[in-house]
Amino acid sequence: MKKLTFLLLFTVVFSYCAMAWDNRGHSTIAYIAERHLTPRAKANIESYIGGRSIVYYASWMDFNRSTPPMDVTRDWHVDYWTDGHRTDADGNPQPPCSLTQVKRIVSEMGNFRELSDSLVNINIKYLVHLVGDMHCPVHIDFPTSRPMKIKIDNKTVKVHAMWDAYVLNSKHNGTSPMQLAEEFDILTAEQIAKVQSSTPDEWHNETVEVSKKVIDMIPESKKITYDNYFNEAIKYAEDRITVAGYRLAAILNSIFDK
Amino acid sequence: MKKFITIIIALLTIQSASAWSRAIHAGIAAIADANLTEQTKEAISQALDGRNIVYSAQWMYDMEKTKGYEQTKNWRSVAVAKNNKPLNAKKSLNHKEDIVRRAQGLEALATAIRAIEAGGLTKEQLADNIRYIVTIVGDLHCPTHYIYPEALELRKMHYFYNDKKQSYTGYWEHSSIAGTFNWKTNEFVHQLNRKTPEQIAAITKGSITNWVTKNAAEYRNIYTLLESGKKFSQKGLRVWQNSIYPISTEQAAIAGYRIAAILNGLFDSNVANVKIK
Repeated sequence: MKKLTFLLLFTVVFSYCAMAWDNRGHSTIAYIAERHLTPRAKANIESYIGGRSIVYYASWMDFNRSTPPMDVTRDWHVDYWTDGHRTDADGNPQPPCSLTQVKRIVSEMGNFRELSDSLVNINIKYLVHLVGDMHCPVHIDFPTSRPMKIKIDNKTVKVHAMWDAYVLNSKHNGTSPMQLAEEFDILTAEQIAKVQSSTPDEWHNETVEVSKKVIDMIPESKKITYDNYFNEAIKYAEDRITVAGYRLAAILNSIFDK
Repeated sequence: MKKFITIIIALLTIQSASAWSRAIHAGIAAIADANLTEQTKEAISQALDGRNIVYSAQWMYDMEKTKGYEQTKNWRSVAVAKNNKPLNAKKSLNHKEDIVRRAQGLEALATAIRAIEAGGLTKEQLADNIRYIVTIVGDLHCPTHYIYPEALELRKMHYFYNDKKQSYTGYWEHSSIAGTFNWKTNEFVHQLNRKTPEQIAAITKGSITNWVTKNAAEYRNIYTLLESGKKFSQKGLRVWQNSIYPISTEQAAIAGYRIAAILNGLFDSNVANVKIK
């Protein structure tokens, strides 16, 4: 029964969120960030997004990636990687997408009060999502892992899809993002400050290393179980989500607490 | 994989074929609860044995197969005329179509409110009527709970996903929010209870009949969002869902504020009653 429930529920998740951390993951990141926004930053941000919480827009980029003109952002979520170089899907060298976009937006938002409301609005939606994607291990897309397919029970899925929709939910399916944020947000002020002190380039490099680890962890048989993968992988997922939340807060505070 | 996705969507639809889902009703009730005055909360807590209204958000549905409560299954929807005004009870009860005859939600709501206003209820009767108000007002903000007798074919609208036929009304009632957000009750409040006092005043202005008439006009538009029989790919479904969840989340919020307005009017002597007509 547990097996069937696992499969069915994950399938529901997978059906509408196969392109990033799923909505649970992105929302958890945004909730953690929201808990660490300064009152002034929070008020400024919400004034640009119709009074809503940033969590409401955590997966907005995924929801709209197929709709023009948002389809131009389709490739912003993933960084293709070949032999230590960042490339596009065809192997052409290029800067990492999510990192490049995050740095561009942070720079552009330095004077957010001089930008149009609509530009600030969409940049907030981009940041809330992309900082999360930057911390998702399989958003560093290696040629070796890209075509790799694994088996979960009797289902065959790609590694990226497994990380997007299965790993976090292997332990936390049914738990709300708000609850997960409470459970994950347990670092001390000193630990949080340390996590937030690094740069987006360093976050990116960190994700590259974690990505290699979680791909190396995949058993040769490619048959994924709790024992041989999920129980260990969940630690990485929880850590990346937590860290992403703190860092998203840091970025948003640096922009909007003024 | 596709087969499983289809099965799950079908299950979700069947589970809630004629009501907002339990999660949405609870979310609406929680928004209402967050907007009750202290006086109202105290009175309701006494009536509900210390419980709040969230606990009973879908109680009416839970009771519909219980002796003495069978009639409540006809209290989920409202029938309206072409001018969007609700049909009076006599007219709808004599209608040739069963679905119109069963659309007694507004009448039941009015009866519950009048019973509380009149007073003299036993504790159990008071509790029942509070619970009716919470559930019925929630349902009267679900677009597919409006019956347009001249356009009953709208009820048959459907779409295909992975070659399986799916009901449009079923989608609205469960998946219009859950298809996008995996919210629990607290998250409905956190995400939707964000209106300013001025916005809440505008939402709760007017009579219940005004609300229903306005809703009826507005909700006709949801039937323009789908070309019945359309076949969706996964990406196509996502794009389509993007046109729906902003409406359903907004209606859930509005329902919560209006439940609070009705209950505050009934139980807080400092708050004016919401008029039925």
